Amino acid sequence: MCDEEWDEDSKIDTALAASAHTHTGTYRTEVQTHSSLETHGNTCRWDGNVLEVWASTQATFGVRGELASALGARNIKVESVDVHAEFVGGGFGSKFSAGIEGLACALLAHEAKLPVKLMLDRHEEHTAAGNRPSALMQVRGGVDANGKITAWDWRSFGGCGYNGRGGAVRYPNYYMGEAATRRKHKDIACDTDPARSMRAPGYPQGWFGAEMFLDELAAKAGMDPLAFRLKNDSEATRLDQWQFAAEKFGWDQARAKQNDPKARYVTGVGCASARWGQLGRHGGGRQRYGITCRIHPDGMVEARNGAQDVGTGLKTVLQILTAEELGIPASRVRAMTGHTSDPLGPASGGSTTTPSIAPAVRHAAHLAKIELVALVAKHLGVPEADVTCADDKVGTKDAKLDFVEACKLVGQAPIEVHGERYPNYRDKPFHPGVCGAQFAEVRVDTWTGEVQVTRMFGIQDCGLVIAKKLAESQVIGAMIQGVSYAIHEQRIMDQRSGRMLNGDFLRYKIAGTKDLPEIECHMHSIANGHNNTGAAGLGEPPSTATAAAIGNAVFHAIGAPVRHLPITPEKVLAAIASK
Amino acid sequence: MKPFSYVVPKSLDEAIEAAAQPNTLIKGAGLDIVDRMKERLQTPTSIVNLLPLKDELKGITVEADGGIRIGALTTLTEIESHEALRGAAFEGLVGSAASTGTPQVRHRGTIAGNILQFTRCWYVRSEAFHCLHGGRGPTCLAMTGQNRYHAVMGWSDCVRVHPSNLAPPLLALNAEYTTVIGKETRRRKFAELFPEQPRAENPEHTLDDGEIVTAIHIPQQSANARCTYAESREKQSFDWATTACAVRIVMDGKTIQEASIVLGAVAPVPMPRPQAAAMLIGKEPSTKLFQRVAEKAFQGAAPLAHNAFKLPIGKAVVRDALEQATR
Repeated sequence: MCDEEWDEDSKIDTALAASAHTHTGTYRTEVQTHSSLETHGNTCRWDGNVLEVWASTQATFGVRGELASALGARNIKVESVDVHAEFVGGGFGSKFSAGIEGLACALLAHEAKLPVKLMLDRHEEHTAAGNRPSALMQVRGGVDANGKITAWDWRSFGGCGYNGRGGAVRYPNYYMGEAATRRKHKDIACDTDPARSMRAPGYPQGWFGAEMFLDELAAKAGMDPLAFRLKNDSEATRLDQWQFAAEKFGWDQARAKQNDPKARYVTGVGCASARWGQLGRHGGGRQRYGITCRIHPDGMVEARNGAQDVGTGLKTVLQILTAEELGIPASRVRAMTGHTSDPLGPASGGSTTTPSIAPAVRHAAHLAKIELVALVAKHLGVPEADVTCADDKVGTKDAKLDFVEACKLVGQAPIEVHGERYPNYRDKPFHPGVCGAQFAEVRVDTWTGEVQVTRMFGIQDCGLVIAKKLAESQVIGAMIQGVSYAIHEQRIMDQRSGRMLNGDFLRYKIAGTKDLPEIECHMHSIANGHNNTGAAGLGEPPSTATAAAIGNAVFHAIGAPVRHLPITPEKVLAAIASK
Repeated sequence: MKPFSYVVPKSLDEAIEAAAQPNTLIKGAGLDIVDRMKERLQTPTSIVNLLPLKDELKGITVEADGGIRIGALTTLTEIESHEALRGAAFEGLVGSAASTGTPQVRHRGTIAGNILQFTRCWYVRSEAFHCLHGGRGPTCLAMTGQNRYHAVMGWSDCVRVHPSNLAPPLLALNAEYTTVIGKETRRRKFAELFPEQPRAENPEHTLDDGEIVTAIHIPQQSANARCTYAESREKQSFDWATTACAVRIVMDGKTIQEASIVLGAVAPVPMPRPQAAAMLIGKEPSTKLFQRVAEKAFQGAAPLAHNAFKLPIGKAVVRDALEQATR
């Protein structure tokens, strides 16, 4: 299929014919499995008709509904389902459903009349829990004499599982300006485990193909890849990021460095953009996401939401925002997430959990504050409007109480309020999504073809940063996963039996500590004005760029592109030999 | 997993007796046994744990004849850091130990366990596949299946590779090993630990049932002997080599007086390459010479459908080891 001629298209053909330089390339990526350290699974316990589930999930409320209806369909009486997921050992998009394993667990517990724990083993996790499908991407493009892209013709194929779905590939569409563009995609079914969304579904594949094509096109036009991007990138945020990051990374010097043609080890640098566009939602269907906030008489403040924390640090987000609104140290706030008995929260997908919940946290804390302020104003005999909460104190400039003292006014029952998530402030956001840029440096052993990523720098916008450590952890984590995707990971199938041969952590290779570069990241905090916290999603954006930046660095190091991930030694040697 | 009895011997004699019972596995660190049992590749009646026998079986000592004795249960971490193995003659042994697994694996894993490793072949090691080497099927599935990590030489009816990275330097160092079985103690050349014509029906080693390795011996090394080790791999943390090479060189002034070359991860057994090594004798080290020697080391190699990449990479690894040894 990929050997087919390109369909005629007068706009594209004219643009290509008029281009100063043109290029055509075919790029491929392999299947990446989620490899969650905590495999899919649940513990189920029945108490009469009440089912309690401890789930490894990205969607507590989804699992609740799914199990209730699946059990109902089997004529099993269910009064209620309570789902718990306080901590989750990895969820990159494959854990939205209770799955067959979840239903089996609930049914077994029902039959056994005992609690049942059922977790997938490692091989099952690799072969029955979804994956990032493989992709084959073909691009034709051209530039004019000024280095502006004039034509962009893209066709891609998704290597999907038996259902033939989920292989769609995205590419960065902010470089094309007025160029003639066309895109086609086709998913191809194969009798293997189907795709499931995985951290920016379709993005790392497409960004690898597109950003690498850009470097090859820039090379044809005799342009520096960064200068080429600065010329063509239409997003203002990233134009700043390119320049800031290039300086921090030392792009000019690194790019100018010449490798000794006789040297065994050569180095190179490359860059790629990152993009994602999620600002969070206000609710699911009729119901809005919410937070229960309680101020207890002993000065302890509680913030609760029923959504799971998949490792992004949701509890910390609840603590920080509640504390900020009440003017108290975060240590006074006890946050709880992951129990469906608490207010509705989103599934953790699309990098939406923080931007969906954070505004409700502030809203709830604000409502609680109003009640506390009323009590304090009455107690101090001052107008409510004059009372503020700051520095762990509540009151006016002249008369104030320590926060703990103020809480004693609450009486026996706590102040309890319910905050909710309002819709985003604008229909047409002035900040349509988050931007990022990443730079990578590699060292290639030209004898053995081994690639070591030695250094990476990432700059990432995510709206306003709530907790710097957590935000950086998302970016660094995405870059680690990207190094692994670029250099190591691939599913290897036995073609006769259709079984995965490397369904383990030995032959399914994941980057370890020694394989990782020095990683630095810079949070580009932008108040985006969409909600009362300015938060935007962060889990996925930085994962779009990493493999592409590394691919370009390898291209720079050895002078020939390796157009097929992962960049294994034999592909590097083949590329060197092809020069 | 099927139930089994777990024997914790109080003395080597007790261990020898327990090891002689039918369907018994002998365990050192035990890093791989549970994996194999979970796949039901092995269903032992009993497992004898040697670890309590530290006093008899652990430690590195310099013997009266200047040779070095390494107890079978000596961990890779101990080999990495032991005084007696500081010299140039042991660089390859120490280096291969240091590149093994992870710090945790090296802290636990023993030298005997490393050289007696079961193959990592993904067909052999999977309950789902029935292949010849596991004694569960009619053919070697890797030969015509996916074989990127498999043999490029020395294979007949099974294309597994020998996974030990310590075996090549030990062979290059002309080591010996001692075993006990029943009342008998045996000391043999290291090469005898591996089948001469490795076939599917052979285990990875030539030990009899119930035979326990107690020590490895390295003969005294001349002052200008140098042993080095190089390997190619797909990741730096916790991986097995795709190709490996240990060399031992003795220099006489500017020329090479003695040489041995042993390849790892390319055949069902570690592969000494005496003809390639002979090309070095009486010569001065040079890139050209090493390239020719590396070619010779892979002469006659017969790669499979997916592992031809091992040839250029393996040759680079031979050059690497030779350059290190003569630097």
